[in-house]
Amino acid sequence: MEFIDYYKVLGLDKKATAADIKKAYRKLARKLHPDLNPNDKEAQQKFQQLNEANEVLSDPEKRKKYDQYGKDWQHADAYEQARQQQGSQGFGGQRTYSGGGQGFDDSQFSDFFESMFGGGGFSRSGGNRRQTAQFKGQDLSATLRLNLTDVLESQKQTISIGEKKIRITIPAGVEDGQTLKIKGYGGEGMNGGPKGDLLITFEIFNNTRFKRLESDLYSTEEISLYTALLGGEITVETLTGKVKLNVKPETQNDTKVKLKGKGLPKYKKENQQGDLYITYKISLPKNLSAREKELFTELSKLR
Amino acid sequence: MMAKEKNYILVTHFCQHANVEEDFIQNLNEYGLVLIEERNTESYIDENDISKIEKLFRLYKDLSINYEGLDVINQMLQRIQQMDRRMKLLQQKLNLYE
Repeated sequence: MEFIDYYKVLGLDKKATAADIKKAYRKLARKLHPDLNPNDKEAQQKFQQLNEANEVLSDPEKRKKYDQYGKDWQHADAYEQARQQQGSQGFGGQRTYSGGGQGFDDSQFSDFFESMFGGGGFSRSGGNRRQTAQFKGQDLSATLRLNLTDVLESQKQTISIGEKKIRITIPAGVEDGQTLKIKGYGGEGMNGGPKGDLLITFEIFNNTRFKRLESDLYSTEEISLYTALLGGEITVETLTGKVKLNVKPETQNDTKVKLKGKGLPKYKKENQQGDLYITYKISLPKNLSAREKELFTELSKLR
Repeated sequence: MMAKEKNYILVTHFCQHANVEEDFIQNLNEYGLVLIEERNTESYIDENDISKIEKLFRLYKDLSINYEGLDVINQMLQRIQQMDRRMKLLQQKLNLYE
């Protein structure tokens, strides 16, 4: 369990007045508020610490205890135990925050805070115990890894969230970083409010040679100098198998051809597929024989 | 493309559950931050706006931000979201050349 220097969190020293604490808290809260820093876990953790710091330092009684035992919090435990044995109660109070998507629960308080002040006593706006939204449960986040080839078709998967097993359908064509919201599978609501949601973010690992841009795929294909000049048939790979392609005579290097419908399924658009774009790279012959050199020289003279 | 189905919730019900003052919703409506639908003398909000209202309420309460500030923040957050999406798309395009 790590000691947290609440003064440092607020950028203050021990001599700070109540007004200094209030001012520092407000300034940092505006900077680190989770709603202003979506998807920034570091800011959210810092905001959590900031609230802890303000909760403790803005309350004269808690501040006194923190100043007295802060660095030796283990003694504070013993102190608390002694107090409890004597029948007195520790610091407590009403937990007033549940919030929505960016909420906290008990387990997110630092061990240090729990050790010193117990489970209760956290007020979101710190010190100023006003009524806040106690409505929806906390949203839970999970990450699901898939291979690119897995998104070719919708598929059902069972995932475990805590002790619960949830069967979900992953729509074909889902993209890397995309989030699927499953309503009602988050944390319990407060005061009879609805449960939060489960947010599943997909991490798509590209296990193919194709590059992806939304539902389109891109690849390069080497063709010989002779096929480029004279045309011919080549076989190319797509995600769903091999196809034969006719290369037109006098095809230039970097020519791009589109194979319609050979890309990935379009997300939530039934029977719609992206395209596959193939760029031809002309491979020049190496280690020419004397005869080949002779013929190429002859050819060059014709132009 | 099919229009997204909308479910409406009575403002009074939402406010009771969420401990949000009705005036707050009315003010958001005046600032164009949410749209209140009036039907048979009752006010309704779109269910899809709830998380936005909750977010704005947290900012209003936690950071004492006034309605003008909420409007600015809302617009800026939308722009950040758009830029994030655009950046992601550009990164994907850039990957095609790597």
